[in-house]
Amino acid sequence: MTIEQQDVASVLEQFERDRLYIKSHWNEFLEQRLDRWVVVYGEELVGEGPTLYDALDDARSKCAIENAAVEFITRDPRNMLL
Amino acid sequence: MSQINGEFREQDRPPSPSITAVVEFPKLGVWASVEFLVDTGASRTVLHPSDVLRLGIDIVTYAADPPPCTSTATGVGGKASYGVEDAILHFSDSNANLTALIGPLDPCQFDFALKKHVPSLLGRDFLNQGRLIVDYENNQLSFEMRPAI
Repeated sequence: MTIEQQDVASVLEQFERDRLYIKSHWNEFLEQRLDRWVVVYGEELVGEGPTLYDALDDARSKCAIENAAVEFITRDPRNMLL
Repeated sequence: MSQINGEFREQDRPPSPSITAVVEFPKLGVWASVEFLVDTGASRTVLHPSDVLRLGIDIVTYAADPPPCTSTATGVGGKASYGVEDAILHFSDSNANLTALIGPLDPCQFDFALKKHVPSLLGRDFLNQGRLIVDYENNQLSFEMRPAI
Protein backbone atom coordinates (compact mmCIF):
# COMPACT_ATOMS: atom_id res chain seq x y z
CA MET A 1 0.00 0.00 0.00
CA THR A 2 1.43 3.37 -0.94
CA ILE A 3 0.34 6.84 0.05
CA GLU A 4 -0.39 9.56 -2.47
CA GLN A 5 1.30 12.90 -1.82
CA GLN A 6 -2.07 14.68 -1.95
CA ASP A 7 -3.25 12.54 0.98
CA VAL A 8 -0.25 13.35 3.16
CA ALA A 9 -1.45 16.75 4.36
CA SER A 10 -4.80 15.42 5.57
CA VAL A 11 -3.15 12.39 7.23
CA LEU A 12 -0.68 14.63 9.04
CA GLU A 13 -3.41 17.06 10.10
CA GLN A 14 -5.47 14.24 11.61
CA PHE A 15 -2.41 12.81 13.35
CA GLU A 16 -1.63 16.27 14.72
CA ARG A 17 -5.18 16.65 16.07
CA ASP A 18 -4.92 13.25 17.76
CA ARG A 19 -1.57 14.13 19.34
CA LEU A 20 -3.07 17.40 20.57
CA TYR A 21 -5.97 15.42 22.02
CA ILE A 22 -3.51 13.37 24.09
CA LYS A 23 -1.68 16.51 25.15
CA SER A 24 -4.85 18.32 26.19
CA HIS A 25 -6.21 15.27 28.07
CA TRP A 26 -2.85 14.44 29.70
CA ASN A 27 -3.90 15.18 33.29
CA GLU A 28 -7.12 13.23 32.85
CA PHE A 29 -5.14 10.27 31.45
CA LEU A 30 -2.72 10.50 34.38
CA GLU A 31 -5.63 10.14 36.79
CA GLN A 32 -7.48 7.38 34.95
CA ARG A 33 -4.92 5.47 32.86
CA LEU A 34 -1.60 5.74 34.64
CA ASP A 35 1.10 3.36 33.36
CA ARG A 36 -1.05 2.23 30.43
CA TRP A 37 -0.75 2.76 26.69
CA VAL A 38 -3.48 4.74 24.95
CA VAL A 39 -4.38 4.83 21.26
CA VAL A 40 -6.21 7.88 19.92
CA TYR A 41 -7.77 8.28 16.50
CA GLY A 42 -10.32 10.83 15.30
CA GLU A 43 -9.87 12.66 18.61
CA GLU A 44 -11.28 9.67 20.49
CA LEU A 45 -9.70 7.07 22.70
CA VAL A 46 -9.95 3.90 20.59
CA GLY A 47 -7.67 1.57 22.52
CA GLU A 48 -5.79 1.09 25.75
CA GLY A 49 -3.91 -1.57 27.60
CA PRO A 50 -0.96 -2.39 29.86
CA THR A 51 1.23 -3.05 26.81
CA LEU A 52 1.25 -1.47 23.37
CA TYR A 53 0.41 -4.89 21.90
CA ASP A 54 -2.79 -4.94 24.01
CA ALA A 55 -3.67 -1.33 23.20
CA LEU A 56 -3.19 -1.81 19.44
CA ASP A 57 -5.23 -5.04 19.51
CA ASP A 58 -7.99 -3.09 21.27
CA ALA A 59 -7.85 -0.36 18.62
CA ARG A 60 -7.36 -2.47 15.50
CA SER A 61 -11.04 -2.97 14.70
CA LYS A 62 -11.83 0.72 15.22
CA CYS A 63 -9.21 2.51 13.13
CA ALA A 64 -6.19 2.26 10.86
CA ILE A 65 -3.54 2.00 13.56
CA GLU A 66 -0.79 3.30 11.27
CA ASN A 67 -2.47 6.70 11.54
CA ALA A 68 -3.30 6.57 15.23
CA ALA A 69 -1.42 8.47 17.91
CA VAL A 70 -0.08 6.28 20.72
CA GLU A 71 1.36 7.25 24.07
CA PHE A 72 2.41 5.62 27.31
CA ILE A 73 0.83 7.50 30.20
CA THR A 74 3.44 8.01 32.87
CA ARG A 75 4.58 10.43 35.52
CA ASP A 76 8.19 9.32 35.02
CA PRO A 77 10.41 11.95 33.41
CA ARG A 78 11.70 9.48 30.76
CA ASN A 79 15.38 10.26 31.25
CA MET A 80 17.17 9.28 28.08
CA LEU A 81 20.54 9.54 26.41
CA LEU A 82 20.15 8.92 22.70
CA MET B 1 13.45 26.08 0.53
CA SER B 2 10.63 24.01 1.94
CA GLN B 3 9.85 24.68 5.60
CA ILE B 4 8.75 21.95 7.99
CA ASN B 5 7.46 22.97 11.40
CA GLY B 6 7.92 20.83 14.48
CA GLU B 7 7.02 21.28 18.10
CA PHE B 8 8.20 20.63 21.61
CA ARG B 9 6.72 17.62 23.41
CA GLU B 10 5.68 19.06 26.75
CA GLN B 11 4.99 15.57 28.14
CA ASP B 12 8.76 15.03 28.23
CA ARG B 13 10.89 16.62 30.94
CA PRO B 14 12.53 18.74 29.74
CA PRO B 15 10.38 19.14 26.62
CA SER B 16 11.84 17.43 23.57
CA PRO B 17 11.95 18.67 19.96
CA SER B 18 9.84 16.62 17.57
CA ILE B 19 8.95 16.60 13.89
CA THR B 20 6.13 14.56 12.39
CA ALA B 21 6.17 12.85 9.01
CA VAL B 22 4.42 10.12 7.10
CA VAL B 23 7.08 7.46 6.64
CA GLU B 24 6.75 5.08 3.74
CA PHE B 25 8.76 1.94 3.10
CA PRO B 26 7.98 1.22 -0.56
CA LYS B 27 9.59 -2.24 -0.70
CA LEU B 28 7.70 -3.36 2.40
CA GLY B 29 4.47 -1.75 1.19
CA VAL B 30 3.77 -0.02 4.51
CA TRP B 31 3.52 3.54 5.80
CA ALA B 32 2.60 5.29 9.03
CA SER B 33 2.47 8.71 10.65
CA VAL B 34 5.46 9.05 12.96
CA GLU B 35 6.46 11.61 15.55
CA PHE B 36 10.27 11.71 15.52
CA LEU B 37 12.58 12.97 18.21
CA VAL B 38 14.94 15.43 16.52
CA ASP B 39 18.28 13.89 17.47
CA THR B 40 21.49 15.48 16.25
CA GLY B 41 23.33 12.74 18.16
CA ALA B 42 21.90 10.02 15.90
CA SER B 43 23.81 9.42 12.69
CA ARG B 44 20.84 7.66 11.09
CA THR B 45 17.06 7.95 11.11
CA VAL B 46 15.62 5.08 13.12
CA LEU B 47 12.15 3.59 13.47
CA HIS B 48 11.81 2.21 16.97
CA PRO B 49 9.35 -0.38 18.32
CA SER B 50 6.18 1.62 19.02
CA ASP B 51 6.20 2.85 15.41
CA VAL B 52 7.40 -0.47 13.97
CA LEU B 53 4.33 -2.11 15.55
CA ARG B 54 2.01 0.55 14.09
CA LEU B 55 3.59 -0.09 10.69
CA GLY B 56 2.34 -3.66 11.07
CA ILE B 57 5.83 -5.14 11.00
CA ASP B 58 6.31 -8.31 13.04
CA ILE B 59 9.95 -8.02 14.01
CA VAL B 60 10.61 -11.77 14.21
CA THR B 61 9.22 -12.40 10.73
CA TYR B 62 10.91 -9.30 9.35
CA ALA B 63 14.31 -10.31 10.75
CA ALA B 64 14.06 -13.85 9.41
CA ASP B 65 12.20 -14.02 6.14
CA PRO B 66 14.05 -12.92 4.07
CA PRO B 67 16.78 -11.49 6.29
CA PRO B 68 17.04 -7.74 5.65
CA CYS B 69 20.23 -5.85 4.94
CA THR B 70 21.42 -4.93 8.43
CA SER B 71 23.45 -2.30 10.22
CA THR B 72 24.77 -2.19 13.77
CA ALA B 73 24.08 0.89 15.90
CA THR B 74 25.90 1.66 19.12
CA GLY B 75 24.36 3.43 22.09
CA VAL B 76 25.02 3.76 25.80
CA GLY B 77 23.24 0.44 26.37
CA GLY B 78 25.42 -1.42 23.88
CA LYS B 79 25.07 -2.52 20.29
CA ALA B 80 21.94 -3.47 18.40
CA SER B 81 21.31 -4.76 14.90
CA TYR B 82 18.77 -2.97 12.68
CA GLY B 83 17.25 -3.63 9.28
CA VAL B 84 18.16 -1.08 6.61
CA GLU B 85 15.35 -0.01 4.28
CA ASP B 86 14.77 2.61 1.61
CA ALA B 87 12.30 5.10 3.02
CA ILE B 88 10.41 8.19 1.96
CA LEU B 89 9.62 10.84 4.53
CA HIS B 90 6.51 12.69 3.39
CA PHE B 91 5.75 16.15 4.70
CA SER B 92 2.84 18.39 3.73
CA ASP B 93 4.59 19.89 0.73
CA SER B 94 7.88 18.04 0.38
CA ASN B 95 9.53 14.62 0.51
CA ALA B 96 12.92 13.27 1.53
CA ASN B 97 14.44 9.97 0.43
CA LEU B 98 16.82 8.15 2.73
CA THR B 99 17.64 4.74 4.10
CA ALA B 100 16.18 4.27 7.57
CA LEU B 101 16.87 1.71 10.26
CA ILE B 102 14.12 -0.56 11.61
CA GLY B 103 14.49 -2.41 14.85
CA PRO B 104 16.16 -3.54 16.99
CA LEU B 105 15.97 -6.93 15.26
CA ASP B 106 16.70 -8.92 18.41
CA PRO B 107 13.28 -9.60 20.01
CA CYS B 108 14.60 -9.07 23.55
CA GLN B 109 16.15 -5.73 22.65
CA PHE B 110 12.97 -4.84 20.74
CA ASP B 111 10.77 -5.47 23.79
CA PHE B 112 13.23 -3.65 26.04
CA ALA B 113 13.16 -0.56 23.79
CA LEU B 114 9.35 -0.75 23.71
CA LYS B 115 9.11 -0.91 27.51
CA LYS B 116 11.48 2.04 27.81
CA HIS B 117 9.40 4.00 25.27
CA VAL B 118 12.41 4.73 23.10
CA PRO B 119 11.17 7.13 20.41
CA SER B 120 11.92 7.01 16.70
CA LEU B 121 14.82 9.30 15.82
CA LEU B 122 15.29 11.83 13.06
CA GLY B 123 19.03 11.65 12.55
CA ARG B 124 21.72 13.58 10.77
CA ASP B 125 21.19 11.69 7.50
CA PHE B 126 18.03 13.82 7.27
CA LEU B 127 18.97 16.88 9.35
CA ASN B 128 22.08 17.59 7.29
CA GLN B 129 19.84 18.11 4.25
CA GLY B 130 18.86 21.57 5.46
CA ARG B 131 18.77 24.14 8.24
CA LEU B 132 17.38 23.24 11.65
CA ILE B 133 16.23 25.96 14.05
CA VAL B 134 15.58 24.94 17.67
CA ASP B 135 14.48 27.87 19.83
CA TYR B 136 12.57 26.68 22.86
CA GLU B 137 12.35 30.13 24.41
CA ASN B 138 10.39 31.40 21.42
CA ASN B 139 8.60 28.08 20.83
CA GLN B 140 10.12 27.76 17.38
CA LEU B 141 11.19 24.48 15.87
CA SER B 142 11.57 24.47 12.13
CA PHE B 143 13.52 22.75 9.42
CA GLU B 144 14.22 24.28 6.03
CA MET B 145 14.95 21.55 3.55
CA ARG B 146 17.31 22.30 0.68
CA PRO B 147 15.71 21.70 -2.69
CA ALA B 148 16.95 18.57 -4.43
CA ILE B 149 19.58 19.38 -7.08
